[in-house]
Amino acid sequence: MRAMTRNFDITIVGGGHAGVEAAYIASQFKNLNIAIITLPNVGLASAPCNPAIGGVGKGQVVRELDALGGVIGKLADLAGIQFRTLNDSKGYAVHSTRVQIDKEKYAVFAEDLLNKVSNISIIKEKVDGLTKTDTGFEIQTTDGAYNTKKIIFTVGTFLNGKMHIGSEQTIGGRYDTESSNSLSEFFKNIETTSARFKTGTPARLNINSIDFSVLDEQPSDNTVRNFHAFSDYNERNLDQVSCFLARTSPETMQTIRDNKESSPMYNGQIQGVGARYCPSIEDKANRYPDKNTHHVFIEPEGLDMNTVYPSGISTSLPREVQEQFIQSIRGLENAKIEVYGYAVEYDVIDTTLLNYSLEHQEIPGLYFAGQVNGTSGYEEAAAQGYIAGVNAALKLEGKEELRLKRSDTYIGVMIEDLISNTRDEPYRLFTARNENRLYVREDNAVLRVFPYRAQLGLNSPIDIYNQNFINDYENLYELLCSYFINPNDEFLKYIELDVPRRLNISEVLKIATIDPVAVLEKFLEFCKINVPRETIRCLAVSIKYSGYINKAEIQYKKVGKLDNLSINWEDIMGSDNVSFECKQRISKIKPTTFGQLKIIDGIRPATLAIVASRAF
Amino acid sequence: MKFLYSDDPIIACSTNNNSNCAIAIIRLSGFQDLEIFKEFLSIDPKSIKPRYAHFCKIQYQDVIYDEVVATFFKGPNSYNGENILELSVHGNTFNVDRIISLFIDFCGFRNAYPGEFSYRALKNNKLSLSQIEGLDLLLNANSNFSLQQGFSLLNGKLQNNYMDLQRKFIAHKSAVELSIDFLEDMGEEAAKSQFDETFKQLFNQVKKLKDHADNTGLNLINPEVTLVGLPNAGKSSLFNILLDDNRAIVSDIAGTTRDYLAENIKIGDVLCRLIDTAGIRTTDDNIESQGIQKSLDLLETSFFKILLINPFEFNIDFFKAVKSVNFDLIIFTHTDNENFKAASNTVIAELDNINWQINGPIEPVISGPIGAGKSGPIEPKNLGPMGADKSGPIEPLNLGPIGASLIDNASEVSTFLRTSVNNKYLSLIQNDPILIDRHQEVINKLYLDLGNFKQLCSIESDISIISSELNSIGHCISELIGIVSPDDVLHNIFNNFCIGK
Repeated sequence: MRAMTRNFDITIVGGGHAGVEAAYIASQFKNLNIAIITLPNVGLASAPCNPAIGGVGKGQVVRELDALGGVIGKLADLAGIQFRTLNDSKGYAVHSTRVQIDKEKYAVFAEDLLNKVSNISIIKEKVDGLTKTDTGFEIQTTDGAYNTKKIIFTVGTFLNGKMHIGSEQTIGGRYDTESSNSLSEFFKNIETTSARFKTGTPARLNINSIDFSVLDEQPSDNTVRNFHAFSDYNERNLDQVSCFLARTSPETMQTIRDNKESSPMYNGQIQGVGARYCPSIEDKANRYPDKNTHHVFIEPEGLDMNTVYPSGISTSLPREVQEQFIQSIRGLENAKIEVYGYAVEYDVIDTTLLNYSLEHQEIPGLYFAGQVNGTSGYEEAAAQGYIAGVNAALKLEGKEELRLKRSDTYIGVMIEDLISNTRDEPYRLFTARNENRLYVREDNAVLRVFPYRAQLGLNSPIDIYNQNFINDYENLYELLCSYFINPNDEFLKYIELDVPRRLNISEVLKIATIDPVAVLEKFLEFCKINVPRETIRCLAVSIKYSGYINKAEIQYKKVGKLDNLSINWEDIMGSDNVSFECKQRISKIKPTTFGQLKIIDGIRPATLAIVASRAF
Repeated sequence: MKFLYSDDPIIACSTNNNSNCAIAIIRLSGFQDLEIFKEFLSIDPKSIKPRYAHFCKIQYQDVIYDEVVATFFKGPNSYNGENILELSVHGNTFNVDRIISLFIDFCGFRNAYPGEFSYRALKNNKLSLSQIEGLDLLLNANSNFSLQQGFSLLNGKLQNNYMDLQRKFIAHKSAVELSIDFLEDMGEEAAKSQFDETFKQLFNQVKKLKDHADNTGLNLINPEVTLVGLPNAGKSSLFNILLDDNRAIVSDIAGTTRDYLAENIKIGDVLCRLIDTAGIRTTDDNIESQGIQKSLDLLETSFFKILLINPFEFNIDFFKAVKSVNFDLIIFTHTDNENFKAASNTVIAELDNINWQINGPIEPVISGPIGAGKSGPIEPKNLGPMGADKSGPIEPLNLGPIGASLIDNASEVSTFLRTSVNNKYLSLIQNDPILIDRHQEVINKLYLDLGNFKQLCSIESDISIISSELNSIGHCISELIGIVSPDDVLHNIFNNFCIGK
C-alpha cells in the first residue's frame, strides 16, 4: 500500500551542485518545507568531471555565493586538498581561487550538511512522472508521490542523455548511474534548443600506475584564503596534495589522428555541439594539426581514492585507442585505466523562455537550473540553483524577486546572458564576459552582494558577518583618508618608500609601483590597528583601482546610460513600427530593461531607436 | 534616437527629376510582397524573377500610365536589405510625378525622405556608418579625389583598412583576454608574445591610417577660396576677375559689399567655393561688425586664403586682427598710383613693427616670385608663407590696380591664382588624406590613445587595468566601424586558439 502523499513547498529534482545550492538557500526560509529528490546510490553534489571548484571567473562566483549565504564555498573548504590562486601575477582584479577537492568527501560533507537542516528532506528515489495540479505539481516516484507548490529541475545531462565510447552507445546522463527518461511525457511540452549539446570526460587512471618523478609538480599554496566566511583565513581541513603537469607527445597526437574514423566525434555518431573552450583531445588533434604538445594536468580525485583525473584529454575514442594514446604520454607509459573516457549528448532547455528567477514563463512554479540550461561548470550550476531556490522561496513568502545586476556580479552577467539569448554552445563564465572587471572581484564580493543578501531579511550569522565587514571597511577607509604622512615619516622609512609631498595613506596606496595590500598591512601593523586580513585586502585593492573604476564607469554610462531603463515589452508589441521578426523575438524573451533588449540577437537598431525615444 | 521611425513602404525617383530626359528610375522599397502590384502592372507579379529585367506597362483601372522596365531585388539581397522594385520609366518629369502619385495614392507608398533608402541600409546592417559617409561623399563629390574616396569608403581600400583595424583590435583584445581567462592553457610566454605581436600589428594599422588623417584643419571636401581685406582693397574686383562675371557690386565707395558673396568655381578638377568677405574694419555699425566676425570665422576653415592690401587705405588695427591667420597669398593693389612704392614701403615698415610673420605649416604654393622679369601692370607675387628665417621685409608688389578699368589684363591674374590654388590642392591630396572630419578626429584620437596605452603597458603589470584602458580604445574604434562585443572577442579566441581542458 502506498504511503500518504507528502506535501512540500519547494521540491528540487536532481542532487547535483545546482540542486544542493537551491535546497540550502530555500531552507533558510524556515517556514518552508523543502525536498530534494535524487537517484538512489548517487552522492549529493558529486563531481563527474574535474574534481575542482573555482577558477578564473568561477572563484568570483563562489565568493559571491558565499556572501549571499550559499553553500559551495563551505563545502570546497571542507573538502579542499590543493589550493591555488590563478593569475597570481596578473593583478588583483583577476586573481581567482581554485581548489582541488576530494570528490568522495565533498559528497559526504554535502549530504551531512543537508541532513542536519531540519526543513530539508532528502528523498533518494527515481522520479517516474510529473503532473500539473491546481496548486502546483504532483511528483510520482518509484516509491511514492509528493505534492509541491514549486519545483526546480536540476537534472544536468539527464534530459535524453546518451553516452558514447567508440561505437558503443548507452542511454543515460552519466557513467554508472541509472537513467531517468520517465519524464519525457511531461517534457514534451517544454521547448528545448534545436541543437543538442555534448560534453565529455577523460579516462580515470590508477594513481599507482603513474611515474610522478618525471612530471612537473604543482604543490598547494598555503597562503590562499579559503572561500567560506567562517573558515579560518588559510588553515586547511584536510591534508594537502599536489597536482602534476604532463604533456602529450607527437606520438600521442598521431595516434588520435590515425583513429579519426573510429571517433564518434568525427564519424558522425555524435551530433551534439561541444564547447569550443573545452575541446576533446580529438578536437585538439584534428583542429590544430601543427600542435603536438598539449598540457595534461594530473589531478588527484581524493585522498582515499586510487584514481587521478588527467585533465585536458577528454575523449570518446574506443577503449583500446584511449589506452594507446594515454600510454604514449611521458610518465603515463604504464598507466592503468580504471574508468574509460566518454562523451554525453543531452537536451538543453531554451533558456530564453525563463525569467530572471529562472522560472518558466509559460508554466509558473517550474524552475530550471544548472547544466540542463546549457551551462558547464559546478559554479555556474550552483549559482543558478541559488537564484532559482531563493526566488521560489521569495515568491512563496510574497516577497520581491532577487535580481542580481550584471554590473556588480558575475552571477548577474550569467543570468542575463542565459535568458536573453538561445545558446549555440555550452555556456561558461569568463571574466571577458564582464564589462566591469575592475570592480567585480574576489576580494570585494561581500561589498558587492551585501545589499542583495540583506534584501532577504534573514538575519543569520552570514548577515552579521557581512555587516561587520562593511563596518570595518568603512571605518578603516575613513581613517586612511584622514591620516596624512609627511615625506620624512617614520612609516615611510619602515617600508622604504619615498614620496614627493605630504600624502594621506589612501593616496600612497595608489602609487603604481607598490603592492597596495602589503603596504596597508604593514601600515596597520605599524599603527597597531587590528583589522581582519580580508577587509584590509578588499580596501587596499579597492583604493588601488578607484581611479580606473570611475573612469570606466563614466565611459560605461556614456555608452550604456540607457541600459538600466525599465521598458514595457508589451507596449512594443502594440507598435506598428516594429518589424514582425523583432516582435517575435521580443515576445519570446520579454525583456524588462533596455540593456536586455539590446543584447537580444537580431534586434534591429530601428526598434531600439523607437523604444529609446519612448523611454524618455 | 529621439524620433519615431516608420517602416512604411517608400517611393522616390532615384535619378535627377528636374528636367526631362530619356529615362528616369523610380525605386519602391520596403513592401512585403510583389502581390501588392497586381493591379498596377500588366504582368503577373508572380512571374517577376529577382534581378531580371521585365518589360511591362504600368496601369491602373484601365488607364495605362507608361511602358517601363521593372527589376525586382528581393530582400535581404538588395541594396538596403528590403524588397526593392526598380522601374525604368520615360524621363519626362510630369510622367515621373504622375507615376509616383499613383503609387502613393493607391498602393500605400509614401515619399521617401532624403537619404532614407540608405538609412534603411544602415539600419539593416547592409552598410556601416563609414560606408554611408562614403556614399554621401560619392554622391556629392566636388572633385575627382572626393569621388575616389567615396568609392574607397563604400567598398574599397579605405573600408578594408577600417575592417582591418577592427580585426586587429579584436586580435589584440583577444590576446589580453587569453592571458586572463586562459593563462593556464596558453602558458605565460605564449600569452606575452601574442600580446606583443598583436599590439604591434594594431599600432601599425593605426599609424597607417594616421598618416592619411593628418588633419590640416582644412576642408578638402568643399574647398573654399576666401578673399579678405579692408574695404576698397579690391576684393570684389578680384572676385569678379576669377568668376569672369560681374556678380559682386563693385564701386569706389568703401564698404559696398556688406556681407559675403559666394560662388562655385571650378579650378583644375576641383569645384571650389569662392568667397568674397565683407570688409574687415573697426566699426560702430552693428550689422557690419557681425559681418567682420563672420569673415574671421570663414577664414578659419578656408582652404586658400588671400589677403588684399591697398597701401593707401591702411589700418594697423585690421592687421593686428588678422595677424594670426596663415595667408596663402598676399596681394598689394593700386599699383598704378604713382606713390605706390612709397606707400607700400610704409605699410611694410608698419607690419614689421607689429612683428608680422608670414609663415605657417603649409608648404609654399609657389617657390620664388613669378614673372620677376615681366613687365606689365599686373604682376602678382606670392609672398607667403616664407620659411621661418625670412621674417621680412615684405617685398612690395607691382600688382596693378584691380578695377573695372583694368579687366583687360585680368586673365593673367586669374591664371596665376588658379594655378596657385590647384597646386596647393594637389600637394595636399598627394598623401591620400582622409576627407571626412569625423574620421580624422577619431583616428587622431585613436593614435594618441594608443600611444598612451603603449606607455601604460610598459609600466603597468596589472592586466585588468590594461584591459580596461583597451576598452576605451575599443569605444573609439567602434565609432568607425561598429561595436565590438565580448562575444566577438570570445568567438575569435575559440576559433583561433587551442584552449581548454
